[in-house]
Amino acid sequence: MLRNIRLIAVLVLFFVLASQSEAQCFSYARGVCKSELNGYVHDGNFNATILSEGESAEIYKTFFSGQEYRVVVCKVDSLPPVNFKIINGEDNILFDSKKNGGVNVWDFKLETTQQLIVQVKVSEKDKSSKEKIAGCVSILFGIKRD
Amino acid sequence: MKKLLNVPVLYLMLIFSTALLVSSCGSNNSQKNKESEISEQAAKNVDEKAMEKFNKSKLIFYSLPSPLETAMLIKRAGAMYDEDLLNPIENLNRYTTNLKMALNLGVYSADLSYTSLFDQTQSSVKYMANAKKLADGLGILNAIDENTIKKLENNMNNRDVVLDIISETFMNSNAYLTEENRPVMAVSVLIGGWVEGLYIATKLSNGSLVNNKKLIERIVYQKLSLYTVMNLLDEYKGNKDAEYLQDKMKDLKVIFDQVKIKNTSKVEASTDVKNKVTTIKAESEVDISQEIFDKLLKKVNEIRTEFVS
Repeated sequence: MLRNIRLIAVLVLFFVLASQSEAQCFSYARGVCKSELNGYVHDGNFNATILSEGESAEIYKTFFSGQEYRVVVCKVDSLPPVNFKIINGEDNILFDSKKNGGVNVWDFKLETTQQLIVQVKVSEKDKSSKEKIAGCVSILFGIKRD
Repeated sequence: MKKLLNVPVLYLMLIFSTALLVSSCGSNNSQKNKESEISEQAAKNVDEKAMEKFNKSKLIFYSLPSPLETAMLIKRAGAMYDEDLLNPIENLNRYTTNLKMALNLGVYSADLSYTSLFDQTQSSVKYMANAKKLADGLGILNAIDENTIKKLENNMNNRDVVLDIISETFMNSNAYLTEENRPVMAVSVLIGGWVEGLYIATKLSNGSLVNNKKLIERIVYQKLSLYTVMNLLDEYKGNKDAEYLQDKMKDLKVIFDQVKIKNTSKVEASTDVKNKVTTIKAESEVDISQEIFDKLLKKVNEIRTEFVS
């Protein structure tokens, strides 16, 4: 019985910690990243997740002509640099943060509406190391105010 | 027996206390160093096992235009305001299932965005109140509280603040449902908002392909967003609400598949490093016949009517 209760307790702790990690990812996106959208209104979509070193994520979004967009890619301080690329469906790289001083904020506009992919990748501090740091990465989009 | 019971109870209490401590640490940040605290916590509490959930080589997300973005697209296309197109406030009591509440949270959020962008402040407050009731009904804690509505009332003449409030409430609902492991409900809110935006735009076109070409372009390019919707729903196969929505979206896809959009030039980017702006250049052609457009209007109207009924 004691064993079962221990197991339940460990599971409870696991779920609480897991939900805490995700909840803090939201707090991080709202508390830290959103402020970088200054001058742009956040579209209201919440895009954030936990990534570890070497991992990448992609977000597909239709961007409309006539709007000016800002993309903000944020990561917690403990993570190594996160680079992002904006590519289209044919894998053409339209923007690469690495080639622009490793910025995490960029503005762009389109002449015609396109579906684009924002690709983020967490770099690795030490590729041979088995211990990987993980943390929250958030991608927010803003639309320029009138 | 007593001893045996006490040990696990104490053990459980210790676990819950730790969990509560972790939980309260997350919500009681002082203003000072708030940013770095949030940042540290977001990194620190990543349990190894929790990480397994995220341990994929690549994660893929699909982002639909939010109700706010859709309303901005409609306004910037030069469309007018028409209150008769909105889902009536009094329809609220019809929504008793989780799916209907989620879809209409999206619908009312889109209506709220539309009224706010056209400075229809009294209507905005009413639609925000409806959105709050549906968010409460879905158990979305603190997404919209009384202070949100007061803040909205106090900033009626400041559109930027109003838009920020709407964006914040939408993000709160979206994040809450995602984090509470209710992704189908989160997707349903998005789809409800997207369909309402499409409904308003199609109605404002008055069925004409020539009256407002910019608005027509906005409508036609929703074909790309529909693919995003289909991909989003594909992730939840086996869920009956997702399958219901998938059926509706498939009907729409049959029509959108007959709309042709193609890039007639290479997609190129020109980056202004000094001003940190990239312009993405491409030429494209759109082909839609009046017959297909009529079918599209009819289908959007049919789906939207079903959502709000």
